[in-house]
Amino acid sequence: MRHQAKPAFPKARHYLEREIHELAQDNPIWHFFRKGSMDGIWYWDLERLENKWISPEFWELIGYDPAHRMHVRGAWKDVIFPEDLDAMLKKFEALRSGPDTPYDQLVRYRHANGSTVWVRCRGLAIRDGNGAPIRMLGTHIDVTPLKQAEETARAAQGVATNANEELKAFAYSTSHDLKSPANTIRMLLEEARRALNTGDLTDAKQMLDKAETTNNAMRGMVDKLLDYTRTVGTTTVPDPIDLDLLLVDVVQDLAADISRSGAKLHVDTLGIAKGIDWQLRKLFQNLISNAIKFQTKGNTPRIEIRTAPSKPGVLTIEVEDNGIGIAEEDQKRIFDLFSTLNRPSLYQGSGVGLAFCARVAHTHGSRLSVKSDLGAGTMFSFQLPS
Amino acid sequence: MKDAQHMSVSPQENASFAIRRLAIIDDAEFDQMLYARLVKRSGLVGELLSFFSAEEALEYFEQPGSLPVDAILLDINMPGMSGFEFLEYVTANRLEEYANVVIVMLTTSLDPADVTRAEQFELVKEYINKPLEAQHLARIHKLLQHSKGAAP
Repeated sequence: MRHQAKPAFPKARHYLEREIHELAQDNPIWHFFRKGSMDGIWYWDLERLENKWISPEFWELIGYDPAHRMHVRGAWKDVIFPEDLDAMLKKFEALRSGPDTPYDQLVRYRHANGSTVWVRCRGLAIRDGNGAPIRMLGTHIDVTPLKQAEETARAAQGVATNANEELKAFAYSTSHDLKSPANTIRMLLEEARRALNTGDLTDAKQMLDKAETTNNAMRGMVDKLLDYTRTVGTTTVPDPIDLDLLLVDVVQDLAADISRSGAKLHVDTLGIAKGIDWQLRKLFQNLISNAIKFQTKGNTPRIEIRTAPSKPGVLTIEVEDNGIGIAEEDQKRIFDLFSTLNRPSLYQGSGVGLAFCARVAHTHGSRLSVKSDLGAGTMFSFQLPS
Repeated sequence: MKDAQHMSVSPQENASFAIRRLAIIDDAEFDQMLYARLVKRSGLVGELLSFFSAEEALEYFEQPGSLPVDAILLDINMPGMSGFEFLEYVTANRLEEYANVVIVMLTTSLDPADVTRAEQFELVKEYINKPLEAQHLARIHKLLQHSKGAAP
């Protein structure tokens, strides 16, 4: 505290306090209003602005012991926000010369603990026989909880706006990336019809095969998109999950891909973490199938899943492969939705898988990070609460 | 030209075609095959150059004598260099050489931001939503006549 408490003189009543008690004449209604419907009162000498009496409740409200502060002249100026004090003095200037309008201002004070206390200050001028304002009697009402609710609402609105923007971008890119194969299928079917009309059955069959391939890729993409959308706005509470059991399942699901590619998969004991079961399942599924897919022809895919040292309360998991790797300049966009890096004829990717994985890491309070050297392999890592 | 496909309908008589040389830059393999069929059927194009990436196209056009092409159909979303990155590169480094090339965006992007961005490139003359159709080729022919008329 900057202002060390001076010895208090509780018996020496402020002249303004004496005055206000004379005005109120110990009326029970006065006490009701003062204690029951307000957070404090103040009484200001408009002829000598340095003199202002503030009831003890005010000091309690902003975290000070009234016995020490209330009698220190001008002590309230140390806790008011300077810009609010300026506005206050301007209003008083206007009141002094202008008509008899009530004073009403939202004023911020600095609480002893550093937080902001919002107080609605209202007052009415008391005038002398000539109509000149000589005193102002006013009330304090603590509106901090309202202000805090307002802040929370505003923050929530900000989040909603962001979610809206995200949704819009998502809708555009989704419509594009689904329209694209739909167009291709349409053209392939036209070609097939043309070929049938000319009796070229071989060509018709080729076109239909290509249409089927495109259609399968499109269906795969729709499935992945559905997973992706399910992670948006997730409110599921994470459960403790036995990651080792989960990985046994995932590896079983991918058994065909693993044996076809001859991949060597090594999974360390990971233990238990808190998470959303289906999301983590799909995350590992995506990372493992990527490691198998993005592999130089003729190379045996080697995939290692392990934990890494981390802070208490978190479990860091790494998934490393010896695949084609990702160039440094591409690493920042691999997590963008529909971003693909390779010629579709070489490596068919939907552009959704890693975007999904990044979202899962995000819903688990973490980030998916990547370390990679082109041609030498890739390591993804993320954290889960343990 | 590692991966680009080169289709010359009738090289000796290129001059008689509405579009003598047309390049299409698009990573979608089936689409490229379909464009080639459409182009052949239309009878409007003398020579078709198909590139599966913007990098491939740039590499090819760096070779002396590879330009001019009359028109380039350019996809936006491609792995590696995007259509916009291609345009940025060409605008910054090769603007004069491409000044007489009619560049047309060929895309499924419905994002108004993409249309706006395309419009900002002086080189881009048109924005076509896929699929490519014969009428689009006729339209490119018209644009070519127009640009030749304007700058003889």
